[in-house]
Amino acid sequence: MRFIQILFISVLVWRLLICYTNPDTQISNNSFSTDTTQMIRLGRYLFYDNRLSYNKTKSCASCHDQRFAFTDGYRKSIGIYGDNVNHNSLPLFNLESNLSFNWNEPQIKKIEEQIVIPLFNETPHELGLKNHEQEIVQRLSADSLYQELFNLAFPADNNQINFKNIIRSLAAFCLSIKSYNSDYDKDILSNSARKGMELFNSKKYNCIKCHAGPNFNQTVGAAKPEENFHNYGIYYLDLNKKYTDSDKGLNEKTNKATDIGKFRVPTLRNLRYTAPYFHNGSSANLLEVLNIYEKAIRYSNFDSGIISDSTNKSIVQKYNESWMPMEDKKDLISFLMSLNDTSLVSDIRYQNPFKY
Amino acid sequence: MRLINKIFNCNYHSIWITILFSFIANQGTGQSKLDSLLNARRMDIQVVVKSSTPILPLKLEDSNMQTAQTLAINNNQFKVNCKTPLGDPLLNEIFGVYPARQSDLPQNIQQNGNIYRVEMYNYAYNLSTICLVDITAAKVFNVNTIPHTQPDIPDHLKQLALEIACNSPEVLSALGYKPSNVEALMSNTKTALNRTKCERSLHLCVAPTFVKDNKALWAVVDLTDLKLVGTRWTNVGHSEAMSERRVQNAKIMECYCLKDSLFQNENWRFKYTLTSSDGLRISEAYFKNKLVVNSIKLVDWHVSYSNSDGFGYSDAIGCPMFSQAAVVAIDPPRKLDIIENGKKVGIAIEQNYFSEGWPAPCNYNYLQRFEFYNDGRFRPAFGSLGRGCGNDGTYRPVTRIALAGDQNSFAEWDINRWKPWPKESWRLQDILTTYTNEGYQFKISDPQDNGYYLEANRGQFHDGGRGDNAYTYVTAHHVDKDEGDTDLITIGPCCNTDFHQGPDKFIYPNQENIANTSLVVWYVPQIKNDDTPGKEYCWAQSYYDNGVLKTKVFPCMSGPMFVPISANY
Repeated sequence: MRFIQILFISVLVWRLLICYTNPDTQISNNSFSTDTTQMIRLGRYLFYDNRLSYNKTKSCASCHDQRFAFTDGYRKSIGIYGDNVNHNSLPLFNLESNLSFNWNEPQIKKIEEQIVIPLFNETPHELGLKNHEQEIVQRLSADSLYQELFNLAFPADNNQINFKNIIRSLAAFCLSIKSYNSDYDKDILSNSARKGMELFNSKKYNCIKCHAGPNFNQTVGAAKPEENFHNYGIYYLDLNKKYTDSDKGLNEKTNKATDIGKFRVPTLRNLRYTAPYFHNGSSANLLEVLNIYEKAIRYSNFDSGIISDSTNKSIVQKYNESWMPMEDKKDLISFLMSLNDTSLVSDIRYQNPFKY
Repeated sequence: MRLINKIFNCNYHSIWITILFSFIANQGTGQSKLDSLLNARRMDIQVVVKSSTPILPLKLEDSNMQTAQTLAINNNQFKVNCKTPLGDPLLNEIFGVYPARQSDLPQNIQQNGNIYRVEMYNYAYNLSTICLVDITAAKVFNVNTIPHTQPDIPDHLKQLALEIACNSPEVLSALGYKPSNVEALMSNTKTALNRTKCERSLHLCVAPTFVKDNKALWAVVDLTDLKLVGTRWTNVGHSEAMSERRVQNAKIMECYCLKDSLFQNENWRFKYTLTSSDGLRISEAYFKNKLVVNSIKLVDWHVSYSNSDGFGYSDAIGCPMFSQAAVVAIDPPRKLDIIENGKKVGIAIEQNYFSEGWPAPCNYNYLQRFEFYNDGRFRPAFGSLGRGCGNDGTYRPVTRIALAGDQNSFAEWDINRWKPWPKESWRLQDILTTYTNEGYQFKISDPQDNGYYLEANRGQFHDGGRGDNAYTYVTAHHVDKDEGDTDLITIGPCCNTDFHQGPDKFIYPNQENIANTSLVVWYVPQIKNDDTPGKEYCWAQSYYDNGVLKTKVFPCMSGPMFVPISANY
């Protein structure tokens, strides 16, 4: 009964968000109080402009490509000097309801704070702008297009072309990207997808426990960002309790032993376009993902993370090796595929303005 | 002096001083050589464009090749695209003149030693024209024009690209020193780069690549505009990789490139030959005396390292001589028995293609493997044996399978039934694809329901393959139009992420009917490589075993199985 209540509330909240969210304005904690149309327009140009990297070889779109639901199809993206960045590229859509913005930093609660990282990060260099801020501002200032766009977006400012406004504009564009046009949103599920939805919400699999909310990325009852961080169990497949990876996830920020291996729960929307999966891009397809969860939950005897809670321990005792039959996996995947929004990857509002 | 010492003690400044000195030092050497090459090139172009026949010829020493080139240039059909409809001259250049290999010839023509193949590139239209010339008869025949394609790049253009790259301030700045020409890898392999004129290979572009530590710098050179259009870095991985040098074997050329070889056992009979750029070709394959396959070959290898920037290589594999391909056959084809449960169930024929420096970064090792089973199944499989220029790349081998029969139709499995394709089309194998209970995705059959099921690779063939995510295309086969019966040059750009992999150019814009006709199936797997420890795929690394250098290979095999519909087929 409690589960049905939670499901009902989740769906209600999500419907309200869709009905009352104008694509060009925002209503969340990441919202702007003024009209953002011109900022979005400017942000769209900046998002696709290679001049926003020090050596002019990359833009935001290099790792957040519309064709891949604003991811890039790689396990880990590559910075301007060929270094792998730390994590798999996260998709950019429906960001207004995010409580946090990257894989291991719950303290980053605003999109503007997140944008600073790829711009200025040095370990590794992503766009490589640190210590080159003035040069980049000069680059943009020399372009009459940007003179006009900044003037329209920030008419009240004296020195309009600066990094504060660059970041605000990029944030406005990112927040303008919406994806609520899937078969699920339109309630046209196939039989298999409908069965998959039931399995997704079922007590047995309980996927919705971590994948609730309008974007299927929020833990039921989570009030704080860090409550959306969980150990997926991908390092605990062999009953060896040792954490073998150097990437310790949330623990790197909190130093809590119980946070080792915890990463933010990603959205389940548009998975057709966002492979490979997980924070390190280690799974190439959804069947592999489900197989990992199946094993992780069966062997859930590790010390931290939601998979180790008592509910799942009872599952271990109750189910044998094939506790998630292939038919269920197929139906679950059908449901996940019903969350794809094919219009997102070709929506002209988000395409490269230098080309279209 | 203290100031100078201070500057030299500072890493940051010393890099720039090195660059400055390198730059100054090279003003009188590399740069002047480049200037003279560019000036000569521009002068040649100016002269030829003003002439009545705007075709830059290839400098040739062999008199027969020279004769073939002259006959081609004087042939009206061969030079039909040399000018616009209004008569304005367009730049064309002869890229290759070779003694025709058997694979270059239509099946009804035998090489008599006097037939040459001439390849020409049209810079304005980005198209290739290829003809065959009989120098004894002084006759040009079989002229074929393919839009949006580029022949193998001749050596003088490779050298020019190298000079442009090595003298570019961007390369100097990125590497921190001026590289020498010999450091560059894959210099003659065609590439692309989004948001430049090289995008989707619309211009003729190559990417001399320089490996530095665990990264590779790509210097993308536009040979149409004669300039560097951009540099990009890829990560080539950390694991050890040292090269094992090999020499090309002239015997391969003599035995397997110039003529067909025959395989025959109690079940199968087929010819095989090494083509110039389409790998090992199987032709006229008979199963129990019934012709089932006209030919199978590997047209292109597309290797992509950036989805968003769209750069990588459009590679070709083939004979070690008369080929500009960087990855060539160095050993003869191998014949192997296929053993299952201790019993011989078929035979396989394998061919390796190898870059000299493999398994060092930016070197490649490919494997073609054709499997022929005693029960009538056959499988063209293709794989990479690892390394390359990045640790997160995508390989797309473009396979052409021309099935026998002129009454074939094509159907795909659609949840619970076979759905016929009325016209030429394509399909992507993805997570939404449905298969029959046996795992079949497509069916190719004649009106008597004889033919084959196509079982796409999903990792079920016990060769380490993890699935193909393949594009499958079907085109009508024409006897009067060469769409790949003879050796095909590079037909697609390296790095498209959609169905534009090359075969689409034989489908659009006029999709033909494909019911009850002769069909060609094109199969383009998409394989991602991986250097993650424990998950390596399309990867190779070196290690010492008892003091001896060895290479550990993590192959990624792809390719569909063709399963006879009827056991009697």
